[in-house]
Amino acid sequence: MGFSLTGTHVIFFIAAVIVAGMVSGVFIAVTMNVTTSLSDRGGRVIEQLNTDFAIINDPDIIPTSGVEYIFYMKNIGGARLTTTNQTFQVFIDGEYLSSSQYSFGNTSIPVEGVTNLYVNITLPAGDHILRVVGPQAVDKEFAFII
Amino acid sequence: MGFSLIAAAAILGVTLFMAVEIIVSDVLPTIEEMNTSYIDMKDRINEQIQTDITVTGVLRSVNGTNFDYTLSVQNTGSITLHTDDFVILINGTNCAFSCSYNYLYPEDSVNFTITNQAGDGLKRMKVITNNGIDDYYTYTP
Repeated sequence: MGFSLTGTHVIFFIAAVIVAGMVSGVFIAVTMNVTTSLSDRGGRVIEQLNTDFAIINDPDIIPTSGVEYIFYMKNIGGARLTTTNQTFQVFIDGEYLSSSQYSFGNTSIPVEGVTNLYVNITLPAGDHILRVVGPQAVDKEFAFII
Repeated sequence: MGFSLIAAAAILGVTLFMAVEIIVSDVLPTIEEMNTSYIDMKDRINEQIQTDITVTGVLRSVNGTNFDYTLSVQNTGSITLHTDDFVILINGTNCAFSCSYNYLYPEDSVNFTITNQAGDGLKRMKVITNNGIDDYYTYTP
């Protein structure tokens, strides 16, 4: 009527293989997720380490082009910088500038290269602080006088 | 019962081996790249610390109604500098220049020539090296 001893062993064997397979599947999936996240995080850290730039203007005399102030941004990092309104955000005196208020002379800066940052804003005479935030939140501040 | 345990253990063992293989093949290259980037960043900071320049003098010559300026720049640091990537600002504006040497070696001086500058008044000059180190000079006619 019941299972024979061999039948019971076969059922235990199949059950053990199924359970081990399920555990393996979950373990491999979790391992792949963790490694993918670590690789992504590593890529961001690499970008952060390679990103560095400086505002090299003379703080006493900021040149203008029409109604726009010109700031010179030099890439002193280890990789080409993509200069768009998406990769860089600009603040003046703590106020966030909308993307229509600033633009770049080039779409990217090679290592040790320079590009112009055009800022279209009316500033009163006196001291001001420009803050440029680049990729991976690498930022630089530059104090100047108008 | 015993054979079931052995089969399960074998499957889990192979899984463990695969997991280690996945980690080693994916994460180790990223760690190596991070290490390289970190070393590069350290080298850049070291070079910046060891970079220094001094504008030792400025000569002005008349060019029609405008003026040409020759800036003498000495490398007072201990790093060789690439002159093509220098930036020179006169009264805040980036000016094109020419230089007869591609490299500025430690203790050496080179001349940068900027032509056709309008205006006879005081000129505030800023020279910036390829790695962002700078020096100022005010030329008074």
